[in-house]
Formats: sequence, structure tokens, C-alpha cells
Amino acid sequence: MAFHPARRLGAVVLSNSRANLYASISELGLYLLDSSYPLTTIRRPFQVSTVQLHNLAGQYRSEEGDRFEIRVERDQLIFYHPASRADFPAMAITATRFEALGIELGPNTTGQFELDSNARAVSLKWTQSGRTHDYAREPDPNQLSLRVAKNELELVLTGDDPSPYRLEISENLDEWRPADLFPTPNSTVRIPFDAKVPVRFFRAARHSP
Amino acid sequence: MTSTVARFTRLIWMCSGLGCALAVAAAPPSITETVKSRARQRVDYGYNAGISIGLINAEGRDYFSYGRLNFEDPAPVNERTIFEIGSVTKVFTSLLLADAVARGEVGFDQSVQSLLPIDFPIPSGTPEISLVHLATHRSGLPNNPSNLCLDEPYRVFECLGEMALRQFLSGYALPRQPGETWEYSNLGMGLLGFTLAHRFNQTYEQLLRERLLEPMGMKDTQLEIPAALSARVATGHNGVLERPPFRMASLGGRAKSAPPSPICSLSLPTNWAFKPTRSRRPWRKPAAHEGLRLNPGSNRDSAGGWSIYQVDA
Repeated sequence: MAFHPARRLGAVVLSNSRANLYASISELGLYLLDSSYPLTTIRRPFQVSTVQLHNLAGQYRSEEGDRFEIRVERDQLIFYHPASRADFPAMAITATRFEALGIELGPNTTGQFELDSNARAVSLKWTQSGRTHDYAREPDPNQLSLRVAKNELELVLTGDDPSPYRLEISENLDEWRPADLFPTPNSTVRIPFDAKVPVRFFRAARHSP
Repeated sequence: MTSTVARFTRLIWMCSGLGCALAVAAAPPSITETVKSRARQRVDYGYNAGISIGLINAEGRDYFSYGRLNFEDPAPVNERTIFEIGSVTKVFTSLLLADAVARGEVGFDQSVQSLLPIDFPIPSGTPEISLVHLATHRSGLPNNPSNLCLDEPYRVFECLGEMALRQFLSGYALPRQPGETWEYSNLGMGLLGFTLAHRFNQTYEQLLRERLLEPMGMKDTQLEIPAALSARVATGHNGVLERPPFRMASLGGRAKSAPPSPICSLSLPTNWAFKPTRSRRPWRKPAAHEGLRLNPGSNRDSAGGWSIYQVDA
């Protein structure tokens, strides 16, 4: 809300977005009162596919132990900084360089990803206040998803952990036999499924169902 | 200081036009295409969910809105949309002080301690912390107390009731004397609202309603969101993330639960002093803003909740 006493002119600009370098609407009100007030050039975000955004998502850690958890929501990359418990939405400058938005970050705070041959991020350079910090991507923890389709159980394992897994089937919950198949990371297998026959699966190294 | 002031020809008071009586202007205002275009860009590029703009002078008003209430609701924002206003609330608190000074009820330089119970632990300083120190972020108090509830980012202020305020202040030593340095302080402004509410034996909300909102016809400005207005409330965002409203402690001591931070819409100033002759209870212009002003001559100044921008000629 602003008022120009000499021109007897008032301006109110409201928005339902947290202020950042570009979401700051103060300058619109000030410009309405005095057109000599400089306006920020609004950068059009680079278009990055959803698939590529997910290739950047993951957990990153610096040598000092600082961490970022990067995820994708509504086709926007979100940098979560656990130490400050804060989410910073990021806008793409290029396919691999993103500007993190947050008034507490200051202007020109960027994350630059380095990709492997599969276009998957392996590291991050975080630049803030003119200083750059390196973060290495950590292996994605494995996730197993299950889906029952007719008489089949579909298992999809994603993640970077190469630990072996076992899948066992039992007729009586006392005696278990190994199943013939189990998904390796980033693969899908289907096994016959009978709702009356229990199955269990666990990481072989830990024996924890 | 004189030479510095001479380099500036125009002043813009930023934050709120609530207490400003306006004289006649030449023509109704018009929001320029440049501003409309910039607002559209911000929304289309994903920087803002929605933006509503109002421009007003003595001859009329102009509105422009663009964007949406939230990602799930395609309803557009408009001049009746209600937004959370967060720290703009500080302007209201400062206006309550200016109004009370204009009424002769308190003084800008009156010590905070003199208005609170004798056992209320205001940190000691030389001079004592005054009302104007709190209103201009020069009390020596930090931005926030250290005993906020940090479990949820948007509820950090919720646990700051009177007991927590007393607890923090009783163990806090000022790092410098009041008046020496500007340091933005949510705590200081909160303490100002608390002190005024205590002085008049009302809650902050009652004081705000009686002295500012009702006289000015600001029906859309509330501390609680009534059911009748809920459909008009825009959801707050951080990028694409939806976020809950900040919840504030009831420092007035009488509210049963922590209210969200105040809300308002562009349609608020129905009794604004732009048309003082039509107002049944015309707004009385607060005492001189100069009494709240500090650092005259700098290119960005603060005056009791307002930021003052001085634009080079």
C-alpha cells in the first residue's frame, strides 16, 4: 500500500504469493505513483520437461554436511533446505540452471546441476551472495511400489541402492520359499498373485520384512 | 541534511494510505498498461498466483486484477478478493499509536514500562524504551524472541502469548541503548500493540476495530476470517506451494485461540478520507507523521510502519 503526498494518489497492490525478487509487487505500486521508479525485468522461465525435472530431484549433500532435498511439485523444482526448514521454489534459467526464489536468499541465488550421460543430475553447485558451494547427489533410497492387477502382483523398485532383495512366499506363514523373481532397481516384475497366499519381501542383507 | 534533502524532490510513503487525507486531484486515476502487463507477466510466468491492484485519488478509483485464488480453484481474483496482509499490520499498530497521541492519551516518548504493570519485565535502557522506539524499530529488541514455537514454519508466533513474552523479556539484555540503531523487530511492534491494548484495557482486535476499522468502514479487514467471507479469501502461495495463513498469538489475552494474521481486500476503504465530507465518522488525521519519522534525508526512511521512498529528481 503506498501513497504519494504530492500527487494525492494512493495505490494498493495485493498478491497471494510470498514475496521474492519477481513476486515482489511493491514496485508496481511505487511505479503507479511515480513512473520514474525502476521496474524489475521479469525473466521468462526456461521450459524444462517434467521428465527432466524429475532427473534433477533427489538429495544432495556438501562435504560440510549441509543438505538439500530437491523435489518436483506442479512442474516446479523445489529446493528444501532441512537446516533452515524452508522451501525455495526455483525457476529455470536453462535446462540445468535454476534460480531459487526467496527474499531471505537474496538475488541471483542459483543452483547449477551437472548431469551424467543419462541426463540425470549427479551434483549441484549452489551460488549465493557470490559464493559457490558444491553438493554431491546422494543415492536415492529405494522405494518398492506394489500393484495388484487381476491375478498378478506387479512390483516396481526404484532408487539407487544396489542391495540385494529377496521375495518369499508362504502357504502357512511358518514356512517361506523364495520367489523366482525379484525386481532389481529401476525395473518391474510381475508374479502370480493369490490373495490367500501371503508374500513378504525384504532387503536380503538386513532380513527386515 | 539540508543538501541531502534538496537532492530529492518527490516523496512516496509506502505501506498504507489509511491515515492520509487527500486533496482534489485533476482526473480519476488510471492503471497504466505497463503495470497491467507486468502483473500479467508475473502470473503467467508462475511468480505470483494472483495480483489485485487498486489506484485511488479524490476523483475516483481504478482496479486491475489477474490470476487465481489458488491452484485448485480457477476462480479469478478481483477487487473483492481477500488477502492475508502479514506485516502490513504494523501500519495499523502504528496508526493506533499516532491516533492515541492525537487524542492526548499517550505520548510518543512515553516509556513502555509506564503503561504496563510494574512487574512487567521491560529491558532497562538509557533512555527507557519508548512507544516511538517500538514504532520505528529502534528499541534494541531483536526481530523475534528466541522462544518461538518452531515446529511449524507458519505457526512460529502462535505460542507467543503474554507468559512467553514475559519469559523472554525477563531474560533479555539490550545490546545497545534504545534509539541508537534501526533493527526491524516483529517483537517490538507486537509489544507496541500489546502495550496499547493494555493501556486501554481492550484486546488488540477490539482496539483496532473501534479506533480504525469501524470509523473507516473497513469491513473486509479482520483478524479472524468469518464464514461469510471465506469464499473470497485467496490461498497464500510460495511458488506453486500452497501455504497456510500465519497464526498469531493473542497477546491481548482474551481471544480463545490464536487468530491468523489480518486480512483485507481492495474494497476496504468505504469511509476512507478520500471523501471525508461523506463519512459519518470522518477519520481524524493522526498527529504529525514527523513525530514517528527517523533518519530524515536518507533515501529510504521509516515512519511508524511506513517506508518512505525519496526518488531522485
